[in-house]
Amino acid sequence: MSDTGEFSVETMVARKSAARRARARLPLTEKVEIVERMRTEFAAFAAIRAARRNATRVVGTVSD
Amino acid sequence: MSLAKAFEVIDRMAREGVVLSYAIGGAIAALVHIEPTATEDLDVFIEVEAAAGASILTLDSQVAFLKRLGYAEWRKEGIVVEGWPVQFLPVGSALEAEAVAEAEIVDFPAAGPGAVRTRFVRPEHLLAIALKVKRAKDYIRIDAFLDVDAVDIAKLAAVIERHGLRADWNEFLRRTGRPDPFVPASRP
Repeated sequence: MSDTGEFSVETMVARKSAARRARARLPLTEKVEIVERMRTEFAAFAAIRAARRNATRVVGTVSD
Repeated sequence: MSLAKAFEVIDRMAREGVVLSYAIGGAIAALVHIEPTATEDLDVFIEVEAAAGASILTLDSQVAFLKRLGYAEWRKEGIVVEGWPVQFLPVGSALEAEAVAEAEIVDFPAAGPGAVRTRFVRPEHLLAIALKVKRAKDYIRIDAFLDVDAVDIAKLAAVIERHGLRADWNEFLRRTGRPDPFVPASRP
């Protein structure tokens, strides 16, 4: 049986905080690589947002 | 295309006198001290000389310089340099002028031999500027700095007092529910 203390809000917050500190301590070059990678990978989502903004709704067609 | 190359172009603008001085701000400057966050552009505070007799400050000479280097595309209010839209922000307050004057110089490793000399806004000025801008993401950034102790609290307090930002600081504390780190008793 697992120790539920390991999954308490306090423990999870502390773990997240420790991970945040660890990421803050990464070398700057590594952080820049992460940002550049995020930018590339998030570009697809930006394209989806742009497409939605530009989408025109077809309301019907005229036929004889 | 890379941030390092964009840093090199921006520093070249200073070396060649196109700007008097500069300091990179925003999310990219925050990157020096806190965990990486997604960002789309590069904010650069610049000191520029106004043309003689001009009543309005323009960035014509900076834009012309970049165009000569082949950077002529505009995206999201920025000139695209090495794939990054760069927003040049002429200093408009004593706080921004101080942020540029006291910028931290970092030798950023380049792809080839050597390094790119780059100037970044220091944490206390980044946070003071964020306090003035007040968007949700600015408050999140301040919070992130405080969370990982990435700012010198005494220096931050001095900047806040010097630039009359106490009310803005109190508003940040009220909206985030954070204890005031300037009050020793409330430090964890």
